[in-house]
Amino acid sequence: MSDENSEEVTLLEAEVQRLQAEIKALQQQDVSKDVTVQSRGCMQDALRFLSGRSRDLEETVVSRLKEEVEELEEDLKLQTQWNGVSVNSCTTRTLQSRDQERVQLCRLSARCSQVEFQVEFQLSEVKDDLRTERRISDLNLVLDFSDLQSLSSFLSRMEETRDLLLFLRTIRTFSERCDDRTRTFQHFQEKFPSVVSLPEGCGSEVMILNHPELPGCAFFVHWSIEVSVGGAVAPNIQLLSKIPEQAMEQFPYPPAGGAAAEAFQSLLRILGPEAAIESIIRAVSLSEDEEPCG
Amino acid sequence: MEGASTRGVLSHLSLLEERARGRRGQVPGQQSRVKELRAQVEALRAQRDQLKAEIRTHKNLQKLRAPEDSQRQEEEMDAESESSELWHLMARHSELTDLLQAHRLIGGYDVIKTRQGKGLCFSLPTAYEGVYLETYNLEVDLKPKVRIRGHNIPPFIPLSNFAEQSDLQTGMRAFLDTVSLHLNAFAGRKQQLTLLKVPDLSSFYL
Repeated sequence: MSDENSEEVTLLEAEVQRLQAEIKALQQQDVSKDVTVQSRGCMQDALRFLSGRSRDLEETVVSRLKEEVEELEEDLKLQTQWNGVSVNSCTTRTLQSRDQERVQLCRLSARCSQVEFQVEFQLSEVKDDLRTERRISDLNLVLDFSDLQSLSSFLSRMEETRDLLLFLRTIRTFSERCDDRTRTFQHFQEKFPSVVSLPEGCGSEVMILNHPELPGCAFFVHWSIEVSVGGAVAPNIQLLSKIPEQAMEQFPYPPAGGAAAEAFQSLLRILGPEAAIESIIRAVSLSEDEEPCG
Repeated sequence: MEGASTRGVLSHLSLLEERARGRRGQVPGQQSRVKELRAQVEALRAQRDQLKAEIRTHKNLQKLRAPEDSQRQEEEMDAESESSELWHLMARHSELTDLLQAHRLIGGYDVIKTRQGKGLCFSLPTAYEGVYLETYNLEVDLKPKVRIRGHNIPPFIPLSNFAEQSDLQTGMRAFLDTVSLHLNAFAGRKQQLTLLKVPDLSSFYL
């Protein structure tokens, strides 16, 4: 064996040891758990470029990446449009990563029209030969919405059953019903500004009907949206009245307490919410150009 | 004197000859050992450079994606200046990947355009007690009007009834929600049965 040769071998072996140690130290830094980097495609090309081992020019890498980012933006728009939900942010942190199994902590915040919510859960993915099993655990749901009463039992149930799919469908339907209410209330406020008031703004559950010349008399249209534990969404519109004794005689058709409420329910069934509410408003405002309805 | 220098030259020559012979006539094992080691060093260097790039990338992307202090980060990033457009693109790519994943996780329909925009394909995920089960697919034509083109939804789910009730032209999502509800009920029940089943061959493994 030549001396030179064995010298080179020794040097090379030492270099191998050194590099292996350096790699081990780098691997221990393990920063990959907090940021998602796709394991194929343009992101990998970019990584190769950054490691100084790519033949591509920076412009090429940048322009290909730009194209891919644009495709992803288009895709996100499409998903947002069809899913009826806008995801504001999503972060995933890898808690555990072994050969066949990965556990991530996912946090996302999203919005369905007026309803904002945050979701947090652990996602575990276990691979076997045939498929990957994905499983959610430790689901936490938070809803930023004033009308929480009807929703809190629903939320607890969803956290128990970890039914994210039903949660989304229900919240989406719920937010659509809220939008119906807001639109209707706003419409009436614009059409009958002297009679209609919305004490809590357009997200209000209650619309108050006052006749400007009959103080102390008021009707309340209470439009609540109930969510059952199983995810059924049902609007519930009630008419309540507050009429002082003396004023009772003023009304051609005394809409006293319960009778008014019942009459309203019939109107609701026959005419639907918008027309029923309009009838009541016209009755309250006792406008002369309109046939009094009973 | 001549004798000594000749001996010196001769011995030097023979040393050189030996070296030359040594190099030419190397035992194949030694040569390939050197080659093998050189290749290994190359591979390890590539791996190390890749790791360094990954670590740097993750650190930068995390900074870029964190909402707080974005002003200060912009300044820090500009100080590094080279490839700042690349970093921003990578951060956006990472963010978009997460946002799209979020849509899928919360049960979105994972819409894909098909046939150059003439159609759409929806995926309907099912899950029970937090475990994601089967995904079903439904493809529609968009023109001249919205119509179901194909699907792999089990036949006992009355698709055409639901399609009539919802009016696909305007209420596509309501239709999808109804189908999804039924699919999940079915998948849930099937999963319950699977979980309850006691394998009857268990006695053979004792």
